[in-house]
Amino acid sequence: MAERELLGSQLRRWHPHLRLKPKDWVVPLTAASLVLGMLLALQFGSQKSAGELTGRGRADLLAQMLAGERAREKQLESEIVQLRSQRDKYAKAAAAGEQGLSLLNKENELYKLALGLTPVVGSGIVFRVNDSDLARESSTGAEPFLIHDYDLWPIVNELRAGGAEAIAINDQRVVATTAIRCVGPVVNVNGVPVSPPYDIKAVGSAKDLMGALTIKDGIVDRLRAARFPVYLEQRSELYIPAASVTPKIRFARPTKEMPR
Amino acid sequence: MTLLPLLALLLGFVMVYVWKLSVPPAYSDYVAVAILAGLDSVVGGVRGVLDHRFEPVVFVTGFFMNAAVAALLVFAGDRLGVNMYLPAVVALGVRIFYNLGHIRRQLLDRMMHRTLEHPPESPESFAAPPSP
Repeated sequence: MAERELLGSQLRRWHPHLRLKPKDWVVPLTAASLVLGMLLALQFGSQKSAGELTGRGRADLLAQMLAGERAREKQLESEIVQLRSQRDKYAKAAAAGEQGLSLLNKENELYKLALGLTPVVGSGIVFRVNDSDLARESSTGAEPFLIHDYDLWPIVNELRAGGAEAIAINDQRVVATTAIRCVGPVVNVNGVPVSPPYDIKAVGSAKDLMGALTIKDGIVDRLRAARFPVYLEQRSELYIPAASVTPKIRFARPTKEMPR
Repeated sequence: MTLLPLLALLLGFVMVYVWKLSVPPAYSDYVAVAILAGLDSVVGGVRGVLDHRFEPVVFVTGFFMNAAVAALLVFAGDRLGVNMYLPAVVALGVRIFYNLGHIRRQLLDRMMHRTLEHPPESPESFAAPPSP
């Protein structure tokens, strides 16, 4: 015991800081630790909820939202179909009532066809292009090996130049007001996301359309050179749906005279 | 007595955790640097205790000021478009590790000397060599 006392006193002599007065530091350190613990728990809680939003939970949440939006889209589309049939019914009734209107009706049909407001059938081609397999293997990023909006536009352009009368990308009708643009990782056509492979259907002279695309150094050659899988097919019977939404015309007014 | 701060840390954590309090994810960066600043202060405080240089007032003001200022700095950085989060984390992290190393060396020093049967020669014995 005495030996221990001696050792203790010696230790204190070598290490003067062993003589701590607990009163001085216990209270501040305890208070600080309490606050630190609370902060940690705060952050822990928010990080956990953030994890739910970034990990698998986020994917689930997004899938759920997507399903909801899809259902809404279905509902709205069916509404459109219903309203159109109603309108057609009125038009028919009007035509039946007055013979003079039938001519107008026929003209109306033609315009609707040209504008892409009615589904069409006819012969034509299907052009399928997909993201390159290199996208998955590339170590420098998949970006150059994906099909972008600026890859799809020239295709539509060439098809139009080849005399296509109706065009659709993955069953999204391409009309005068259609925008094709990349939004994040997906391409939107008419504001509707479409995903690869892109099936571009065009009704028109199959020979002309094929020629427009396969011309030397044309679309097909360029896509193949960039290692995109490309597939072309002639079809004797193609179905192309109507534009899902009638374009809203708010600013353009019809006029007969040239402005001076 | 020495366990009291640890117990308080646990108590604070459990309290907030049980109440399920959390900050919006947008502010989690601020809380993160505040935590690091607080941790830095506490580690610095422990070091001060071991070095016998602990000043309660300095410690308490430092704890709250550092946490608040670190969070404010990150906030200001966000407003100015400068990511102040990383430099704050790096600076505080370096200090925490440095102080932890110091604490570890201090404690090891003590433990080793305590277990020694014979403490090393006293400085006095050097200072006052036996006269002939």
